[in-house]
Amino acid sequence: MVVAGVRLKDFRNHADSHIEFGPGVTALLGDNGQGKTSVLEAVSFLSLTKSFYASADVQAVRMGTPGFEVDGNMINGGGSGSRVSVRYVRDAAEKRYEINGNRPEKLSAAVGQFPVVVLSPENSGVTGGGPGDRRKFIDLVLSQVSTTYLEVLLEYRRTVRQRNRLLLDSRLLGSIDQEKMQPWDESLAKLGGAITERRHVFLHEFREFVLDAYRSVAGGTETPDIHYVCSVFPADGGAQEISRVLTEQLVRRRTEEIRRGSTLVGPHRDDIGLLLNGIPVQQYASQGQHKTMLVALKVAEHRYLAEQRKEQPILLLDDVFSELDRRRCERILNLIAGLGQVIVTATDERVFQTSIEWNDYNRRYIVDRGTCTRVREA
Amino acid sequence: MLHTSEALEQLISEFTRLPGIGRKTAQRLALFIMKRPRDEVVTMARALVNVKDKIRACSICCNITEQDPCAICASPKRDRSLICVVEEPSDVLALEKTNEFRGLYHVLGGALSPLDGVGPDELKVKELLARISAEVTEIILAMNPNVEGEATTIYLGRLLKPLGVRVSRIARGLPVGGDLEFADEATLSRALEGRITL
Ligand SMILES: [Zn+2]
Repeated sequence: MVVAGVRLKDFRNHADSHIEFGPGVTALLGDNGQGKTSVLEAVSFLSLTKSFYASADVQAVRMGTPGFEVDGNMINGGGSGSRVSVRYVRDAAEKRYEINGNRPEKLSAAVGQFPVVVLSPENSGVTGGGPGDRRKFIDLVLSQVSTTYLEVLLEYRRTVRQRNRLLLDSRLLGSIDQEKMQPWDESLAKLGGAITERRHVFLHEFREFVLDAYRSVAGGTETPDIHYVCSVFPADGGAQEISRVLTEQLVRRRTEEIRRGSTLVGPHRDDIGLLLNGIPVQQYASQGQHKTMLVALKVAEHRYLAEQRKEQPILLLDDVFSELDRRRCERILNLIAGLGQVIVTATDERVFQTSIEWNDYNRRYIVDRGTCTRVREA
Repeated sequence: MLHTSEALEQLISEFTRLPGIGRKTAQRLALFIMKRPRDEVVTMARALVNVKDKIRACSICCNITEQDPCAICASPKRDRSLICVVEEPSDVLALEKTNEFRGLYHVLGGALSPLDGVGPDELKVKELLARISAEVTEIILAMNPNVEGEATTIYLGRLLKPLGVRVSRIARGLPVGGDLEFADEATLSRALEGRITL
């Protein structure tokens, strides 16, 4: 998959920018705050229907304008192209996502059609943050592999919200109506079992990719590991078995749930264990090791998606090199040079010096106050 | 911007109450109506009031109707041993279009949704229970294939099964998260045929 070009109209600080990406590496160069990341965000909108930053769509609208437009041409490995456009109107708070002029029935059905892997400072939570950051990471990978997974996940989240409301109502009333609660318990256990099982299976497959990617980024000195940490079920199990345990736990923790007014059991409480030489990565102090692990996870994600989808994802790298020494930067650049289309932001173009040769395959753009200018190579 | 006519301004603000209508569209509709002949507008206004005055709920199935009982409940041709439970009157329309189902309906008036303050008491559940008699052999639950429809199906299933009636649900051949109303006829027919006993 490659994005041949993208147009940003009234998007962040871009009034009207047009960029033609190369099939290899496209570097977006410039100082901070000039609009480099916005270009990556625009590609994210085309692929994931939203930004990879946790910000509301409306925040991407350029100040003083009624809405933004992002258009792009996505070309798959077989050479067939799709025109994708996203328009957002501030007043109506309406987002219109179209592929070749057609609106998919649901946005969830569009996610994964044009696979993309993003590495941005936003991802630092995967190794350094809480369980929510790590769940988000694997949920996004799985959503791009399976539309069914994404749909079950969205149904699960809605079920948790419905159930939480009942728990809050029960807390206010000081009593619980078991008959009203039962259907939500049953739905939660059933959907929760399916999600947990899928995540287990995924991490089994994904583990090999992580071990392999980590070796190529860091060399052979450290041994990483990754596994699923289920909050209620210690061993692997089938969906039905997990559902049964979830149901038991829901009954057992009923009083506590009412007191807290929220659902305390289910895959939204699970975690992913990331280890380095047998020690949880969160306990490592070194920024370099965190970043190495993160890059390895993303390279693994890229290779996993490529294998599953029979299509190389587009790789978006935002501000990756800032905390890394020269040697690791070079390793990463040599690694990503073989990963298909890569769009990367950087403040200092010297990091590319020894690894990338600029031509029509690998291109440079200068981004300055919302304007993108291609560097003409000699 | 406000218009110089208070009457026009009022019509615009009434239109903005309609689902999916913003101020701009409301303005366009209001200006359109202003330009139509008077008798056409009177007919339209009367149609609006008639909807409120003439339509009521069927005392048997709770569907909207002008005569009570409704045409379906009153028809001698319908199979009175089957009751298909749906969320909204529009679902009855969708299922009738398939020409597949010959039984009776029961319109719940929605689905369980604590977030919207809808519990069993807000739905026509008591009315459904009151209809269970020796004559009824099967209840088919045909809720929308979403989270709320699923919870409603589970709830009704547990409520109805002890009453000795066969309870089934339509097969989930429908797109997940979709509405019954928007499913095509072939899909609905298949879903009805492939129903699963609870
Ligand atoms: Zn009736």
